[in-house]
Amino acid sequence: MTTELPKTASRGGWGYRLSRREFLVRIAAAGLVAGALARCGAARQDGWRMAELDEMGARLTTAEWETIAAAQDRLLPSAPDSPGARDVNAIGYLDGAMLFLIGSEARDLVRRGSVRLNELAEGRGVTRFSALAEATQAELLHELHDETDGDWTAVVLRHTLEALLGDPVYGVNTGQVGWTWLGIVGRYPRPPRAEQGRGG
Amino acid sequence: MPEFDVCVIGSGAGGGPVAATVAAAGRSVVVIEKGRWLRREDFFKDELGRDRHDSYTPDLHLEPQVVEDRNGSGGWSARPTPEAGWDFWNGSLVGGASNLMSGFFHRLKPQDFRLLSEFGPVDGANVADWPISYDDLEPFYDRVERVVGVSGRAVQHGLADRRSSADFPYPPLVEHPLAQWFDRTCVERGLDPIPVPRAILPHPVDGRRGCEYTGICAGYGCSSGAKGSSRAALLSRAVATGNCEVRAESMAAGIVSDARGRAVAVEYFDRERRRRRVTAKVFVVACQAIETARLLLMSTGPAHPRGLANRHGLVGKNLLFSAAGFGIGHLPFEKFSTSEVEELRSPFPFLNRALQDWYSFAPENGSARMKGGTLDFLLLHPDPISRAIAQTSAKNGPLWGWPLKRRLVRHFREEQHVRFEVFADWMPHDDCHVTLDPDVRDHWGLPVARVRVGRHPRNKRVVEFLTERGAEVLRAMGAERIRTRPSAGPSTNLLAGTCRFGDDPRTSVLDRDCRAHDVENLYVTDGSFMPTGGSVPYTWTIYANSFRVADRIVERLD
Ligand SMILES: Cc1cc2nc3c(=O)[nH]c(=O)nc-3n(C[C@H](O)[C@H](O)[C@H](O)COP(=O)(O)OP(=O)(O)OC[C@H]3O[C@@H](n4cnc5c(N)ncnc54)[C@H](O)[C@@H]3O)c2cc1C
Repeated sequence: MTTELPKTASRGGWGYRLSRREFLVRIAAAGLVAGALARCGAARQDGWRMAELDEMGARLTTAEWETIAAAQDRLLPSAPDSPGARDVNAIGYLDGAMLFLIGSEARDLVRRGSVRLNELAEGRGVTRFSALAEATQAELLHELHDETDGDWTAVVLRHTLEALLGDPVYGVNTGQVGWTWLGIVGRYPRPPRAEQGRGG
Repeated sequence: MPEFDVCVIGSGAGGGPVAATVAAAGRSVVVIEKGRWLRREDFFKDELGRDRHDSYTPDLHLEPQVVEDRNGSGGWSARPTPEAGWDFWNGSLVGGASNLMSGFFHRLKPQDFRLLSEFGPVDGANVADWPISYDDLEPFYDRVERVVGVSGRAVQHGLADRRSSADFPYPPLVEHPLAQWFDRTCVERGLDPIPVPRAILPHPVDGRRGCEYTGICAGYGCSSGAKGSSRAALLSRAVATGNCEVRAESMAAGIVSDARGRAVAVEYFDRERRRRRVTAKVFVVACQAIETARLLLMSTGPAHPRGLANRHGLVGKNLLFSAAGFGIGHLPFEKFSTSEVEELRSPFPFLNRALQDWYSFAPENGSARMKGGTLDFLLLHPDPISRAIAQTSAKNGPLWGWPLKRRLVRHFREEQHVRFEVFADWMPHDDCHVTLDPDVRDHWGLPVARVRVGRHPRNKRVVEFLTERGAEVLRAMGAERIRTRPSAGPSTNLLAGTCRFGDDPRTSVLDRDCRAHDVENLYVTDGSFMPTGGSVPYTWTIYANSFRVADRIVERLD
């Protein structure tokens, strides 16, 4: 491919594609739910939401959510002067992506990696990866990386960077922190919000 | 009585000029286009939107193609595109891929029309001269400058184009200060830096706004209307005459021909998936080289048992891409003075420079002079996500955590980047072609294109030579960490060939007016007509040739 731009990521076997409108509506819905869940652990018990999520089938479980969020913190750590995964709703975005963006293969990969991180954590005397010290988490991530030929970290890191630098209409890059940090300007016209979604 | 004078299938760079010319001449024209009709207001700078649920190309599971590539044991393996991980769709919307191009515009050189005569045969390649010359096409290159809108500056250099007008109708876009650095470096080295013309308006014209300098051109629709897409520059005018009807979301399934072999109708699926028909006096196919070949091969009829215009089995043969290579160099701010850094930080996105000093070259091993190509120099595409992802690979494995954050800061805040792209002739040969896949069908139930992508070794040799030259220029500009990638693979967004034009019906599908030798009222006006591609991107030539053919069509209707 010449004349500037690599082919889109979706061509790389990441899964199926949605129309823009469908994508916006769904990811926004997922973002809202995910956001609510993140703010309030009790929301996980909310019968109505859980039923809805079950029906959708693919969302992260509590354990996966915690484990992968901790891993994303290592992949893109947060600092006072620079945003990290937790500042840009990276886990909420991945949760939404599990539903709508990535195909079943990548979804299974994400799931298996999460299970594996907790297994590896048991080898270090705890049951939850997220309870480990940062340095140990980093070590285990390298182990998982080697075991999956880099696939797991590639998928999760990709989504983390998408959350860092994607348009905030998708419920990521909160307050444009990612763009501000890296000095990214001039992305206009910005995409409309889901309910105004056009051209999809 | 046919419903329309002309029916154009495919609304991109090859289709737009015909629709606009025929409509302006007061004749009726219908455009059948499989994609949606998006307007300027529908285009956003939305990388997640573009990358992850691509709005502009079909879902590969619904509309696959099949890629046939060399396997390890010397044979060919075929994989449908959802598995292959790449495909040849470039834009299914009104205006086609011309909506999504960068708009780097180059004319072919006179020698590109005479590759066989100028450089002789190449073993294993089907090199041929064109039946027309640069002079035949020049007036139409000129028309494209005015009608589509090409901005630039004519300069004298070794291979300067012969022009019928003194200069471009639109002045060049504002350039990044690095363009001056580039010029100084090249002149010191005895090279001829060329300002690259762009199919982008610098100021408002006819309801299109001037460029807004986001630099987010490639892969994105233009929200200002400055980019010279077929949609913005041609179809909107055609429709305004009242003589042109665009039927979007209409997938042509076949061209119906009568017992005498003339085309009589196009059958298509409308947006409700109903099978419909439209009749016309003249038919013009412009679906982009691969899909054009597919449509003709699908269009069998009583006089065309092997497909329309395919009496000699030539439709789909000699598919062309552009032979491509890339390079990038980094200019770390710490190496430069405060005023230089200020220049490097300029927000203007366009470098717009090219070198054609090696358009032909004598290899060092003393063998005969051979065709070379163009080096286009540019800044990085502004998309932050793909740029960030590119930062995650390092020599000793993947980068994440604090080292990745450090690298992101360096990449986005502490350095500038210059990139180059190589464009060289893709040697036409027997193992690069389009057929219909015997098994795979799309969601309409139509057989899909099977694309064999054999490469001639000459491509790589030339690209390697040019890539090395590009790297030398980057080094001379003070760039560090120069990385190059000569590519042997096909550039999937630059497609041509498959329906060669020529004077001999036994070796060509179309005559010199791009009319099918076998079908008196059928024309092909996308890049399919090209026997060889030249060493530049194709679109200016596709536009120009389509205007040329459009004049012939209007003449015959009069
Ligand atoms: C990212 C990108 C950057 C590019 N940059 C440049 C550049 O800088 N310079 C340059 O010269 N070129 C560039 N190009 C290439 C340029 O876009 C193409 O050369 C040009 O658009 C080709 O014109 P075309 O008419 O052959 O095809 P298109 O413009 O693609 O039009 C073909 C149309 O036919 C339609 N179609 C196909 N099959 C059917 C069917 N069966 N029924 C109905 N409709 C059908 C398609 O949907 C499409 O709209 C770029 C392309 C891309 C994708």
